[in-house]
Amino acid sequence: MTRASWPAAALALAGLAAAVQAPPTQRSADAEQEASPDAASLLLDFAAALDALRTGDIGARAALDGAARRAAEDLGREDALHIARYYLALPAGAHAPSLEAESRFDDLRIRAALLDEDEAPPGSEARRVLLQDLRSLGGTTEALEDRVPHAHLLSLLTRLEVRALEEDPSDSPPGAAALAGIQQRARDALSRFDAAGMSTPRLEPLWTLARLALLERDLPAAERALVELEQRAVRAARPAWVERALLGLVGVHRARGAPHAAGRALARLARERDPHACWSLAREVAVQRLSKDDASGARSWLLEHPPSPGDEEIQLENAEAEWDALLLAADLRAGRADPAAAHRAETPLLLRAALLLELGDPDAALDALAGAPPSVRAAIDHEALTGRALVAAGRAEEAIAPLAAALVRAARRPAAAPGTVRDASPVGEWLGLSSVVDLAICHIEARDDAVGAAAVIEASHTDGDIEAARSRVLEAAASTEHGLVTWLTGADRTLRVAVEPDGTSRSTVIPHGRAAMERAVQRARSAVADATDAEELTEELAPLAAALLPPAAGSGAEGGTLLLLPHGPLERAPLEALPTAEGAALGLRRAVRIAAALPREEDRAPRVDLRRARWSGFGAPSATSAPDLEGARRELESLDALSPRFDAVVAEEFTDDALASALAGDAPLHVATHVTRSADSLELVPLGLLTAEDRVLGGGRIAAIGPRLPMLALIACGSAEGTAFDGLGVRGLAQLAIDAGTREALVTQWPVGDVAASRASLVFHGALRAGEDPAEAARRARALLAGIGAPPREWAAYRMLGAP
Amino acid sequence: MQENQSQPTPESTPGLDPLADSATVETLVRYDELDVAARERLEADPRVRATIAHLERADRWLEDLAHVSGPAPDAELLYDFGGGPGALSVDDDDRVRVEDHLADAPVERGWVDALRRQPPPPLVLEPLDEVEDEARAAREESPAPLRALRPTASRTWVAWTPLAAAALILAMVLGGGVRPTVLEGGLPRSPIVRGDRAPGPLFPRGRVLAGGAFAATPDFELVEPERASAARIELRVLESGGTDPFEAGRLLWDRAASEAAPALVAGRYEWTAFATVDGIEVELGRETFRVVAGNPALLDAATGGPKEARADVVLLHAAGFLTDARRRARDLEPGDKRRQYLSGR
Repeated sequence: MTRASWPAAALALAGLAAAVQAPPTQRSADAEQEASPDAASLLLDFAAALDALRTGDIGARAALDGAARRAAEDLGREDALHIARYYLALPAGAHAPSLEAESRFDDLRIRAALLDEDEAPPGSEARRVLLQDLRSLGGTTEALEDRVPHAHLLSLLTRLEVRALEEDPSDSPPGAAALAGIQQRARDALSRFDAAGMSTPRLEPLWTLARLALLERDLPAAERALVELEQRAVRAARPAWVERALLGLVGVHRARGAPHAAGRALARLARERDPHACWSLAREVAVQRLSKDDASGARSWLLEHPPSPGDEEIQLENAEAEWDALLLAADLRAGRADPAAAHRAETPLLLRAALLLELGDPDAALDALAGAPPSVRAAIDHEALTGRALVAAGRAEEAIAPLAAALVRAARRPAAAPGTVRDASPVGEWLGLSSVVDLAICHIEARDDAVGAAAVIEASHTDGDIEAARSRVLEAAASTEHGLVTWLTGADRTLRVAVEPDGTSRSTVIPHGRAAMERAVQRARSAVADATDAEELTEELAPLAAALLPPAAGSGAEGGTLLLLPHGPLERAPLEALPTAEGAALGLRRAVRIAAALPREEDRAPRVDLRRARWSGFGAPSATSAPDLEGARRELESLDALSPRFDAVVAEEFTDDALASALAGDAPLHVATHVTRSADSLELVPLGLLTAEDRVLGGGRIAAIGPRLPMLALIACGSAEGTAFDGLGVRGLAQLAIDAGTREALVTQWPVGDVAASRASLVFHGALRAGEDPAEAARRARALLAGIGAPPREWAAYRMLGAP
Repeated sequence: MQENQSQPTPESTPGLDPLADSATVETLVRYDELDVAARERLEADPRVRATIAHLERADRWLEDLAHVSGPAPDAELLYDFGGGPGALSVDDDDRVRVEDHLADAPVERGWVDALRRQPPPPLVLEPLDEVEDEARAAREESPAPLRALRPTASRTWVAWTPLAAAALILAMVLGGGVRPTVLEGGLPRSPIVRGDRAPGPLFPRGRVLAGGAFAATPDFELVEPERASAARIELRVLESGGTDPFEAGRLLWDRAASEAAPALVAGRYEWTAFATVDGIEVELGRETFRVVAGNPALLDAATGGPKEARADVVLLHAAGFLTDARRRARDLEPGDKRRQYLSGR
């Protein structure tokens, strides 16, 4: 076993799972943003008037009303009006008992802060007595007519209760009844603050609810609470709470396997804090780099950003332990870890096992892993590492069970809330595709079962069910003339499996991992972009083609469908442009189809006869700031002329609503317009389709529509582009439609010329009208452009997405 | 401005491939808009002539699909036409196509006649065609009609307005609002693409002339993301010369993007652009390029030889040395044409 075959980055993430999800400590009030002198003066006026009213000065009513209006008008603090209204409505006799209770509560709050400052251990007598005193005072505050003192008490009480559960040294899961009680009290605090019109005090119970949800592992609930917390904290100008919310969101997104969402939360945090002074931010950037297999980048970042003693949000000792563990993970991946770390007690268990594996001692690693894993996530890493250790010990057959169990466990984790766009894959982010590659190779080495290996790859992109995936793989291969080829890239090697239509199969291990594949793919894309003719392109891409394609990929007669299932970095590879042994590019020899996974037939739009179907066509929007698309206009006119069943919509009629209506329908759809960056689109897919009057139909709206079309021709620049996810595939405009059940889509891999695109579209539709399969129609479109001498970037751009 | 008024002749760039420029290819794709004289001029180049012939063949094929009977109807359609049990309705176009086909296919005619002698399915109470007509009418009366394109008078295959075509040719010859392409003696240009520009590396890319001005004093152009406070470039030499597509390369240079890079000798290179946004450095992307020897004419153009800058740009661009052409284009007179060229990718 080589060092290369195991996922140091994943281990680092596993070792830090608890740390990533842990809340920061309470930040001092001094750290909150200070108000400007004018604003401070207005707020002081408001507080003074409120104090006067509550201490019995009847004449303060008008002053409070005036101060509240000024705070609302000058500072935008609408909550001041609500608070004034609440206190003005209280009977005069309600104020005195309320003030007395608040005074007693303040004493308890100071005690809590001092215990934090003294780092009193969880479960200590002092903390136990404090909780008892708070509950005792709660009996008084709950009965008060003024609902606010009890709200404050509940807010502090639940914060301390959650913290006690989080720091429980027994590591036993909290009881449901205890969690429900705390949750009820936190919600009570929220509703009391609501009743008093108070906005800022809601922040703490929201934070508590998020932490409770994390304890319950209810990630959607935690995310909802944290999003609300961030929004309210931004409105209330409370940067410390913004930071807490964002760090919480980073943890939640990472826990559900959504690295890009975590990255976006991190980018928002970076606008607020300097990573030199904020260890939480620095730590997350290091984890992000490790998860991208950038060990040297993570290492240099860590060395530049150690935890700072001046960071008020951390416990320095804990932060330094996190820093050590991350640095060890980076060193491990870079092949420079200190072997002594394998024997240090403070080295996290999984990192220790990984290090032992690295040192060539799989039996010792298996011994170290013998303890029971404490959490779901650690269980996945534990099973994966056990499988890898068994592989290293030459026990491939035994390795299949733990690796398959880890795959099933990860694939069945809910990665996105129902009804939302899939942006997460615990298989890719938790388990790591290297483990999947190992499992697939075990099927080959132990069972001589290459179809099983292809099924493992397919299962890792769906629900983890390997046997169901086997059936889909065989059915898909049998539905083509030339079978299918699937690839999966791990940290240090890539597995390729080819399955013929009759079910026979062959596999090859390509000794290049993710980083090398990304380099090669980017170079190949550059070569296509810059090549001026086919000969130059062939020369440039021949070495990559030899490495990636099965030798017989283009042999025999021209034509016939070949299904390609590239994953990870290979999804962006210009596979259609790769030269075959016959000389011509694969996309000119074969009717190539590309899919990230093989969907179940019932999840796809029904197949229709595209010759006889009524098409909708949209293109060439008018009154936009982008260049006019004369080619698109002509394309639509010509398609309209080509078929009586083509309904073309152009110019001012091409509105976003009309396009949305077509996307919501069930007719094949052709769109010829600009892809543009869209601020109001999904963060995940920040792109949209330009329509008349500069309106954009963004990814968010398209995702909400959930197009389920029999065919979508998206003839716009780089319509196949998007955000790439391990274990999930590229998320882009076209993939949003494919995810929603659109059967197949003609897309482009990079910007295409307007006029050349119009020719490609016409040939595509002409071939469909002649009864060809869409993949063959796409091949003919590429061949037409190649045949007239268009540069490779024009013809190689067209890609048919979707299984047969 | 005089530069666009020269007559377009392919011979103006001897030995170079006129199809290397995307905009030229796009002009050829619209060959059907050219007047006779312009077309003859273009067809003087055999490569251009072959391209136009290829396009004409494709158009004839499409025209056949649009107006004639199209390919032989398949068995399902024949069955539907015959109206056997469970048959679907056949629309007018397909009906004409089937009838045309059957006229020359007596055996199949016999099958269809046999089908037509079958009794109609008992549960069908009205002709399916009528049902479909009603459905079609209902679709056309729906509140969001899709058919917005004005029907063309003749439904001819190429429905391009003669006025636009005439304007294009006029512009090509006289240098009007539409810039001429390389074939017409103008500056090369990027075609209109259906999208916009994302942050990432721009130039150098592709082939770069060894000994040219760019290779002597390279600079790196990139589109920076919003709020970028710094940009950094890593330059690596690929020692396998491209035979190993996976090699990491040897780091040559790692500096701020604004710093001058060392002169480049012949070889294959890769550069990676990074930007710092809010204190965190992010990778923007990679681009590759090759520094190769060129002929003396190209080297003259790339080093700012005796010819005017426009001619050098045309020569370098048409030869595929876009990076050198871009460097030379900075010597053009300030104005729209220079700006338009440099704004291309």
